Amino acid sequence: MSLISYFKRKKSAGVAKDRLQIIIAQQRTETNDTPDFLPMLRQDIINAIAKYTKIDVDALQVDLQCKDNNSILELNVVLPDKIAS
Amino acid sequence: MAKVIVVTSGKGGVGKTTTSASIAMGLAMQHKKTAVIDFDIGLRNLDLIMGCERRVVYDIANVIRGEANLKQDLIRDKNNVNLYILAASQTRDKEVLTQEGVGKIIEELSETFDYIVCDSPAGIEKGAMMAMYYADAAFVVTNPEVSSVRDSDRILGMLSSKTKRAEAGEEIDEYLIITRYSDKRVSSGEMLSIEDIKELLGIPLIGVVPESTTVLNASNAGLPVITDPKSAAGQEYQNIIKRFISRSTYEASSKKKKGIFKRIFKKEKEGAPA
Repeated sequence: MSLISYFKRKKSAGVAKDRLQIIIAQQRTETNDTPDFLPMLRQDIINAIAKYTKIDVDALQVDLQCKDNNSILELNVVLPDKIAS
Repeated sequence: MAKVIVVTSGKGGVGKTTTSASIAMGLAMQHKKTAVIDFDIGLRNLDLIMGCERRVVYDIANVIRGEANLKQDLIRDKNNVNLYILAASQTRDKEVLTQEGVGKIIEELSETFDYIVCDSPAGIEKGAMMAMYYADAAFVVTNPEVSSVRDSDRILGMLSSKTKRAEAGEEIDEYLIITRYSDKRVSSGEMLSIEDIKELLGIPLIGVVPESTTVLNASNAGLPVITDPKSAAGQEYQNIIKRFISRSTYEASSKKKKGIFKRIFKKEKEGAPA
């Protein structure tokens, strides 16, 4: 029992850090003077995928994470069952 | 020319006023002529923390409106001849803080003072913007907690875009102060660590003030906690002043400590067989 709660506790600061990393990256892209291309890129990606498949637009996730000098563009697409199989 | 320092955080209750009071007192203790200005219009608190609330006659609004001159307005600290306080106004009219008005005060103080410490109110409204506008250096006060870290990041964004220096394409020296830090809670994994916060905010760390009961005691007494040599928080504020003046960081001085400890340990080890 104490072992479980020990690991549970370990997690909360880590969770906080992960959440903050995403939020701060977003904040920084919002305040940047450079035009935010993410919404447009997102739309283009959706259009391209929708051209070939019947995807659920809500099931598509595009996230941008910035850490140090690296930016990671994360794309999450759930393809319909028919195509997937 | 005085150096203008803003103490800011975005979020309320993280220790801005406590930090402002101790930073200002610390600089004065180093024989620097220092003025500390409360920008929290309507909710002034610095006078209470500095213990001069009963000596406030005129405030910042009176100076800006031209109802009093700056000499009448400044309150000399009861314990340190180098320290002066300019209290915030309790009027509800926040519009009293104009860029020109504040600029004139800073300019006039610059002639005779070494440092001007601006205690920013919480939030990102006029008072906070005016407190940071003329800053040459910024102390960003952060608690190891999600909302405080996020707000600090927003404030950092503003420091690099909404200040006089930023407008002129110059940089502001930014320093991170982590307050209310608890080693115990960090090692049990329930509090963001120093490394976490440093990585998230990416500015030089100048001090880590531990959660301490002495801070409340100092506030109760109306004495900046830096004047309490027995307090761990007070000692860390002393260290912050030393690092600030010598342009050093928290890491640099904590590494040094480790070195000394290691050396002693090594000596003991070496001495053991003999």
